[in-house]
Amino acid sequence: MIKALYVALLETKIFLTDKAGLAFSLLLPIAIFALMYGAFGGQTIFHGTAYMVNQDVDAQGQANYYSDLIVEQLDGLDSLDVSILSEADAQRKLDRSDILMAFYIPEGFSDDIDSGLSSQLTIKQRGNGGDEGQIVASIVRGMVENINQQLQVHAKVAGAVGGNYNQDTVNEYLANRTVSVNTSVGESSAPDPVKEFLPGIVTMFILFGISMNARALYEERKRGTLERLVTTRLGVGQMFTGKFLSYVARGFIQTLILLSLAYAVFGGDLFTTASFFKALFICLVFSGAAGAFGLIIGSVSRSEGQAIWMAVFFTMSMVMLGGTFFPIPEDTVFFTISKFSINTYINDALRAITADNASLTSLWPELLIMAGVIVVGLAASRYMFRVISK
Amino acid sequence: MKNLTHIWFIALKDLKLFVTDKTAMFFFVAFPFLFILLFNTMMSGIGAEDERITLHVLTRDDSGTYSQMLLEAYETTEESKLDPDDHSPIIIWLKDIDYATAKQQVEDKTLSGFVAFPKGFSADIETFKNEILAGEKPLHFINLDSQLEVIVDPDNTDQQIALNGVANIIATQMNAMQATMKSTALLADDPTDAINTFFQQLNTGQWAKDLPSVNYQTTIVGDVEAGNPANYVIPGYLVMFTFFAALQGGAQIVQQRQNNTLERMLTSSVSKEAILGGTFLGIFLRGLLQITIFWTLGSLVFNIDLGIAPAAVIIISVLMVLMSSACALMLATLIKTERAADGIATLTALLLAPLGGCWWPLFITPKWMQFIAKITPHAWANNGFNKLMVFGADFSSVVPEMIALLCFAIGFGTIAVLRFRTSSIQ
Repeated sequence: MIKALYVALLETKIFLTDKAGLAFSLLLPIAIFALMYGAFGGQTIFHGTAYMVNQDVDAQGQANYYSDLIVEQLDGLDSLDVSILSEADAQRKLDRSDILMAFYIPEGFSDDIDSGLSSQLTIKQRGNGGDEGQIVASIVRGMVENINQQLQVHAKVAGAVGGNYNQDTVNEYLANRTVSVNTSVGESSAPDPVKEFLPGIVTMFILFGISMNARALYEERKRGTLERLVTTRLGVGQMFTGKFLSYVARGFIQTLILLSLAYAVFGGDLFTTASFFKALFICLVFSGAAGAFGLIIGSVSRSEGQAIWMAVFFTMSMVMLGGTFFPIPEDTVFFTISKFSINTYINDALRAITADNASLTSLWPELLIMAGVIVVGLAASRYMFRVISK
Repeated sequence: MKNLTHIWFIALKDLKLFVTDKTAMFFFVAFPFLFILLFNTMMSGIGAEDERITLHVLTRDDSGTYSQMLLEAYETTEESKLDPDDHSPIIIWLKDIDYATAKQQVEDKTLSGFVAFPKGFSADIETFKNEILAGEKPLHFINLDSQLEVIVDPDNTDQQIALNGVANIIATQMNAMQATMKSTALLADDPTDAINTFFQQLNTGQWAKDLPSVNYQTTIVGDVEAGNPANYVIPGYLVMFTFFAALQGGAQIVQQRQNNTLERMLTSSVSKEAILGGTFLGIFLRGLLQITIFWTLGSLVFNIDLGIAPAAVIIISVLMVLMSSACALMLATLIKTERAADGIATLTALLLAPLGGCWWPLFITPKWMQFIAKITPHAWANNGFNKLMVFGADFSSVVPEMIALLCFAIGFGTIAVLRFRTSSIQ
């Protein structure tokens, strides 16, 4: 056992002095978490595109006043982009379902308004225009309604006061908008993105780091390092145990650093002292399962390419099926398949700890499954473990 | 000529070594498609939602004359009797529940939100009317402290926008009425008749009668069909895995340099340029094989739509392979040890993939992320594919993306050529 511990210590030392390995193990999860948080962590806001065909243009092709005003005001909204299309492009995109709705501003739109005549916008859409289309339509209608009301106020006042009509006075009153809208939004029940993404990202890189070690194991076997070692008094079993312990140590160190950083940054929102240690313990068990997994890949690989691709394939499969980035829909076959991913159990356990400070006893099914993976994985990898490259 | 032959043989040897490793080949092909299958399943059906949006309104107004009149005008009484051209949201007046109950329902998430007319709304308007008819200078149409209110579930952003849209239209109309009456009161010699007429029009729903307005005509050109998620899932993973595989090829160059394979090749008649060219061509051919598999399976199994300019899709794919191959060579020239090469290759590939929109489409991320993403070649490639395959763009629309990928390839390639060395000893 002492010899196995020496092997583990040596491997851990190599890991800690390997700058590229450390960067991969520590910087990459932080970077990926930051990206996930940036992409999906903020408050969800609507963002749509209004596809417009502006036929209200002058001889030089420049938009006339009112059509330009509509486009400019819409483009100024944070929630909306405006895409100006030609009539042919809009029709083609609608025909191909590339877009679901297009607004057509007809020729003479501004002239009609200037002349005090009614004018008409045409909306071409597929079905009801989809959810986004309907919301975009409501924004466009609101914007046009503003212009509509201004025109109607001028017309109404001019009709009522006759020769006393003064455009500036009406504009002054129009600008004085005292009726407004107060919006109250309650507290969001959407999951905290930190608690949602952090467990998955941390466990993803524990698994990645350990399984990528399979390539190093293959290399050592190919170069004869393992064979040379067994000519010393180090037995194959001791070497195997040492390798396994080094993988567990590597995963645990990685977890310790990443979770400590997370604790330091997010503090009490993420962990209590007790839940932090529970999370560490759960990750230690997971590191064991991942270590057994890495030993299996390292033992069965016949080439460097195989080792890399197998490690990436199995890690990413476990990660994706484990609901790291997106929850797996319950009514799909993938939900059933996800039960075969160890990441499902570690992610569920970590989320339960961070969200509800779940006790270790309540997490016994997850712990039991991970312990089972360690036992089965170690037995299988020990059976396949070879020191000589065939 | 001799150089070209060497380049060809080196490339062919690399490709042969790769193709003959059946297990690696299997994962090389199967791995991306497991992802594609998973994401395709998870995202299928998205975009087919086309129910008319339903919005709720209620009033806290005690007397209720004006608010009730306005609500009656907005309410959708029977959907089936609606003008078939009118595709505006369905508006339901919550008559059976009070404000507090509705608010509780929003908190309980049994109601997505509602617009509420404030207490004293009608009384405020009545006061305004009396003041203006008495020749006083009225302050406000409705009291500043009792405005229209939108109560909405924060997690339902669609409702939030739609309810605010409706509330703002009502507010705009209220402000227009206020401006009309105040202007008339100020400008008319005797405004009494005009003001009385305005209120009569307001009471009878004739306010805008005979006035010029901007109207809408809606034309339905077909049904809403769910987009095929493979149209953005496959290009994303193509970009990620082409780049990943190329960078693994780069790590192998470092290995060959470290075990002196490249040096030994120099001792034969192979030139340094031929080694560089051959290695580059090998990685490039492997990438071409990869994109051929992607597009073939994508078309046959996932029925992807290459858009109206399939040639542009192919060109962007080839440019992506070219850029990835150049990046792999550059990486090989910058990294000294095999161990570092593996780590950095994987790190670079895995970091640039989500940043460049390979794991999720960039068009669903915030604007600032889309902007930052442009430092990655992945984002340019993905944007090009999305434009062509999701938004129906033509060839000319993706020329900037092609140029950007070419620039990345030239930049990486130049660094690779300048720094390429065959010996691990400096």
